[in-house]
This record gives sequence, C-alpha cells and structure tokens, in this order.
Amino acid sequence: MELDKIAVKVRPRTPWEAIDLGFTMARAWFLPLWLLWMAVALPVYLLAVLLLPDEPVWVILIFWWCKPMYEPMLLFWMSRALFGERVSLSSVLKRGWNIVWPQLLNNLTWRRLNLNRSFSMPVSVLEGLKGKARKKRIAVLGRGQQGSVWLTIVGAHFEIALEVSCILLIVVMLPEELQWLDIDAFLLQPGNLEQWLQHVGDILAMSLIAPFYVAGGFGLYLTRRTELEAWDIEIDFRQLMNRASKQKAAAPTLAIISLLSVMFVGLFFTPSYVEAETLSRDQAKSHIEAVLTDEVFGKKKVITYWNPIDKEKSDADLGWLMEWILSALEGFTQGFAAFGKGVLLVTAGFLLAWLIYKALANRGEWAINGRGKAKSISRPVTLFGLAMDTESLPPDITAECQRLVNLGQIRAALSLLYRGALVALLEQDQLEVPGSATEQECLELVQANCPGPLSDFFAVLTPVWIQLAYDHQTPSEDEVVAFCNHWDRLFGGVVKHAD
Amino acid sequence: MKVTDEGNMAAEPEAEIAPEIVAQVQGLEREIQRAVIGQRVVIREVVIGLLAAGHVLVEGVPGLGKTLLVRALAAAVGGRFSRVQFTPDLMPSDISGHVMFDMKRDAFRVRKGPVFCNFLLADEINRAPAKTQSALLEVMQEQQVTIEGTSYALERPFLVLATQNPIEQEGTYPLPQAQLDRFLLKVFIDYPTQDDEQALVQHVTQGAVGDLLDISAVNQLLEPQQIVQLQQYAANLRVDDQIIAYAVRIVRTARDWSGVEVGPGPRGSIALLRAARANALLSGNHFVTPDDVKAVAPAVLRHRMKLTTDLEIEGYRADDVLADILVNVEAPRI
Repeated sequence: MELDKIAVKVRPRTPWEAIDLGFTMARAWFLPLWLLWMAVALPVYLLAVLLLPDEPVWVILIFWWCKPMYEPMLLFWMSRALFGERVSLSSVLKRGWNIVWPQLLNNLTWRRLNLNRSFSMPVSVLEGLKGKARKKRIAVLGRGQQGSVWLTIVGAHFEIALEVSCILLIVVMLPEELQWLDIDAFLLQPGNLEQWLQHVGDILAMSLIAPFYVAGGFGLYLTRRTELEAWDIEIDFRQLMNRASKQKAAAPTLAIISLLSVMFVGLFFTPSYVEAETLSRDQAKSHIEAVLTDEVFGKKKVITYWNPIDKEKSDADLGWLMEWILSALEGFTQGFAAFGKGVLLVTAGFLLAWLIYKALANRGEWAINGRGKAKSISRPVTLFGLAMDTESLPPDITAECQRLVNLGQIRAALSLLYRGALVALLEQDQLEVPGSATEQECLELVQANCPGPLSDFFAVLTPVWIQLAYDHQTPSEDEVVAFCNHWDRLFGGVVKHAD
Repeated sequence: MKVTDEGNMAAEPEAEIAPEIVAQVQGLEREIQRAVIGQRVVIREVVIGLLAAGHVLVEGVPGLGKTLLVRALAAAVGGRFSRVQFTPDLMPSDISGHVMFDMKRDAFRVRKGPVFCNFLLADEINRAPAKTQSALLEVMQEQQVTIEGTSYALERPFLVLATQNPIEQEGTYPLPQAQLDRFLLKVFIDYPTQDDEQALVQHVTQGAVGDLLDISAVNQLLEPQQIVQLQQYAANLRVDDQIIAYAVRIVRTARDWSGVEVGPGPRGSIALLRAARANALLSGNHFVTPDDVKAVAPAVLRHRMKLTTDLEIEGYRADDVLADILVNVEAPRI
C-alpha cells in the first residue's frame, strides 16, 4: 500500500465526515461503480426470473437477499482506484469470482442482516481475513463507531423512497388511456404486471444506492484505519522526506529537517519503546521526574474527601451479583445466537433445495436452443361464469351429459355441452376469447375462425343455450341427447386427448 | 303477453314473441329506410328510442337527413310532427304555447305550442338559452305542459328528437349534464357511404322540384296507439337478473373509470335496460340478452359521461372510453 498515492485527503474524521468522504468517492466514480453493480446483479435477477417466472415477489426477494454478492467488486475496484490504480471493469469482472466467492455463503446466510455490512466488508474483501482473525479485527476497528449502522438505516430509507418515486413516475408518465394501471392497485394490490413494473423501480433504486452504501462503509473503514495507524502523519512525513530529498543542494536544511523529524517521531510515537531500549529503570524514573517537574505538566494537588466504608461493602456485594447476571445474560445471548445460526443454516438449506427443485422443474424454460413448449394463447379461466379449463370437465363429457339428462338436470347438461364445445375449440383451434365476450360474440369468433361443421354445431347450440340461460326455456330431453351425440361426433377425442 | 280489453299488455311475459309484433317493429324500421337512405344505425337507434319511450339527441353536421328521419318516422306511425328551430331569442312560450285574448269570443283562449305533437324535432337545441331548453326538457320529463296554471297532458307516443351541431359552437348554450341525462340516447349521424349517398341523391332528385323533403315512399304502417302498445310490450320483456347485474356493472365501471370525471348515475342503468329491452324487441326476441345491453350501451351512456380535461385535450371521446369499458367488463355469469 503506497499511502502517498492515496487520492483523498487523509485526516482524522468523525464518522459522519467519513461517510461524506465515501459519498464523494461514490459521486466521483459513480458510473464504473454502477456498471459493476449492474453487471453482477442483472444476471442474478434474470436467473431468478427464469427460475420463478410466475412468482415476481419471490424474484425480487431473492434479488434483494443476494445484495452482499454484488458489492465486493465495487469495493475492490474502489480500493484500487483510491491508490491511483485504474483497473478496467472487464478485468475486475474476470477476477469477480475470486473477489465474491470467499465467504459468500456466510454473507448470504447469517451475516445477511448484519447492519455493519458495509464497514466489515473491507476486512473480508481487502484484508482477506476470516474466522477469528476477522472477528478480532472487526472488534478493533469497530470499537466505538455506529456510523455504519446509521448508514444502513438511512440507505434503506432512501432506497424505499426511490422505489416509490420510481413507481409514481411510471404511473404519472403513462398515458391516461392505459386504464389497466391504477395507482391504488399499483401500490396496494399489485397484480402480476404491476409487480414486474415495480421491479424496474426496485432494481433502479438498489443500483443507485449501492455505490453510496459501499463507499460510505469504505470511508468509515479508511477513517478508522487512519485513526489507528496514523496514516495522516505517515503521509505528512513521507511528503516531507520527498521534498527534502529533492532539495539536495540545500544540505544543511535537509539535515535540520531530518533531525527535526526524527525528534518528532521519537517524541510522539515511540517514546516508551525507545526509552526502554536505551535507559535503565532508575534512569528512566529520574528522567520522568525531571520532565514532570516542568511547568508544562502542571502541579501536583492533594484532595481529601470522605469515602463511606459501608457503601463500599454493599457495592462489593452487588458486584458479584451483577457479574453473575451479566455472565448469565451473555451465556443466554450466545446460546440464542447459536440457535439463530442453526435456524438460519437449516432455512438456507431448505431454500437451496427448493431453488434446485424449481430449477429442475422449470429447466424447459431456459433451454435456449431446445424446443420449448408451444406458446400458449391467453385463455380466460372462466367465461359466463363457467370454468374454462379441461381439468374442471369430466373425462367423458358425453356420458356425463347423458347421466345429467337422465337425472332431469337439463340445464347442467346443456351447460356442460356448451362449455365442453368452447374448451374443445379453445384447445383445438387456439381461439382467443376475451372475458367480456358475450355468447353472440363467441359465436362470431367461432364462425370466423373455425368454419365448417364445428361452427355449424356451435351456431345451433348457442341460441338454445341463450334461451335456456336468459329466457329460462328448457329444451326437451331428446333435443339435448341429440346435441350430446352430435357433440361426441365432433369433439369426442379433443377434450379427452387434452386431459 | 296478451292485449287486454283496455288495450294494455298483461305483465306476464310470453314464451314466444308474436309474429305480428316482430313484423310491426321491423316493418317500421324498413319503412323509414325507404325515405332515409343509408344511416341504418341511426334509424335503428331512433326506433329503439321510440320503443323505449325515450327521447333522442342527434348530433351531426347539417344536411344529413335529421329532419327527413323524423318526418319519415311520423309518416310511418301516422303521428303528428312538429319542428322547432331553436334560436337565441326563442321563448319557452314559443314551444309550450300561451293564453291569448280572443276578441270575437270575448274570452281568453289557449293557443297550444308546437310541443303538442307526437314527434317533435328540436333543431339545434343548443342555440336557445337555458330557460327555453329547460322548458322543453321539463315537457320531455313530465309528458305534460302547464299553461297559465292549467296542465295539459301530451298525446302518446311523444318523442323528442333534438339535434346538435358539433361545429360552429360560438354563441351556443351547451346542454348541462343534468339535462343531457334526460335523453335516453345520443346518436351520432355521420356522412353516408359512397354507395348510400349515390342512392340517396338519385332517390331525392328523381322527379323532384326544388329541395322539398320527399317522404311519399313511406307508408303508414302503424297507428300511434299501436306504438304505445309496442312500448308496453317492450317494457314487459323478460330480463334475467344476470342481465340487470350486467347493465349495472357496466354503468358502475364507467362511473369509476380512470379518465371519467363524471360518470353515469342510476338513471343511466335504467336507461340502459330500457334501451336493451327495445333492442331485444327489434331483434325479434322476447327476452333480453347481454348482446342487447352491449349493443345499446354506447348510445345510452356516451352523453352521460364527462371525460377529464386531459383526455379531451388528447382528442379522446366518450365512445373510445366506452369501448375500453365494454372490453373490460365481464359478460354475465350464469
């Protein structure tokens, strides 16, 4: 790490200033960061869509859950750019697996809901620490800082606000004549189409926030390391040395500066170490006393006060109690955490198994060159209140119809015939019948698309059905039986075959 | 359904429609078509208005045969026909009539206005001020005229065919929504097709001197009293509950539809069902089907809907919105 090449001004900062530094970096390098995020995130989304084409809610949930997968590459690229190394996006993507894979499983399971994700990510990705070493390192770095938690909370709020804004933008910008899109339905009871449209807003919002989130966490990390390792001072001295080395001609000055710098370093950074090497214990003591006598270190004061002995005793009594309670609580929380970890692992296992099952079940959907299923035509589930799927029909319609006629249920028999004829036409001739179509419109559609005996039969059946349905005029049993026989001759094989 | 001694129809629906009834209603349509060449949809809708005992607002540019249509209707039914050209200075009494002093009899005499007829053509109704419009619309609603405190019932059938010109809107008084609601149907009359116009020109100019309207080809097919009976017949046609639900569903959807600022009220549902009954009768059915409702829905609802300014600016009309609505409202569930 060549600190003198760092692209930002390194100095001790408050957590808010550190996050601000991160945001500045995100603004400066927004496009490459955004492209990197999209390059990883979009394939995940598309894969989720392929696996769960009918479950938009699950798709976006999986996409959101996999966020820790998209972020390491942003961090990697930013860490290089910070020290002046402009790595091309393609080379980052080539190394993507090596950057993302380590600890991915941990990041996607029990660490997924960790609010410190942005801050602890550099420890895993840049320092490559794992296990106990990582834990210790994070404990040291994270001592006394909650900035990353607030960064997560505020980021989540901004993300939600952006998502809602995007949805509103879509609704506002759509022309009025697109009546199927209603703002209330969009926000409160979204159908499948609205949910897919919402995904546009979701992905956009996540992609816009992600660079700022990662950079904010990185800014916190940098500031904390600056604080712990005195990067700012080191950089200052390096700059000082560089300037001095350039001024070879002015040798006395160089000597003075060098001397001063050595004194400065000796005085502020390694006093105990240097003294311990060179002075004996007694010498050091006398030296310290001499230093302390200096006026700069002030004066010695003696303060007298009363200290109640009984209270001290009771405090001591309480001490062991508190200690016991704390240790019990700690044990409980550790146990609880272990339990939670177990639950998460089991859940993740189930989720993985389910995803594999769904992937296998839908493998026909993502066979690119293979023969996919014939594109199914949109069919109404119900028409005139009658179920329009083959599953709702009995296996042998003619026999069922005859049985109903024998029972005197003429209406049910004719309804079955009419429905059966429509289903057969939908199956056989791939008719598209809208839900708003009346019987007459259905007849016109059939006549236009299926001329011949089929439409002739339908033309005879429809008026009888209309008369029964709206005029309550029941046809004779013989008439219905004749319809049954005619139906069987025309459609006998179709519906059975479709079953 | 049977005709009683008083000439009214019994309320019980029949299993079959009487052939003479079908012949009467369909013959009426055919007779009008003898004089008015083309415009079949307009003729059908006007006959529906007559059978449903409603009034019709016709919108179209001048010279498309609106007056001829009403005169032909009056000739086919044998009713009395009046025409009032609405102008900005037209007064209510010019329509309803007034009381005048008869010098010979030395007494006041009621002079009945043009509204006392069977078929009234209110030409360019939007050119008269609101006061005069209201007078006519009150007559349409109440079917009676009050002159100097005395009420005079109008002879039935009474059909008002009001016309509006979609162009030249300067100096007009557009009918308010509440008054438009009183018309059962709003019919658009458009230019005829090439073939129809050719036939029309040939028919009108053959042996005619000047530009007088020729309704000599129309035979009187019915008496006014028969029209009243047909209206009663239409009112008693069988309507399944699902059909009523379908009509209400269409109207309620139109009311809540995005892009509709003011939608049709319950009067719209009532009008829709009345017109659907008339359409069923005209189709020769003794019961109403969803197709009857769907067929008359545009004419019944188009003037009961006010679109939002956005849609109006973009050039959308109520018919476009209604077409969307009809595609989205599910047909009756049996």
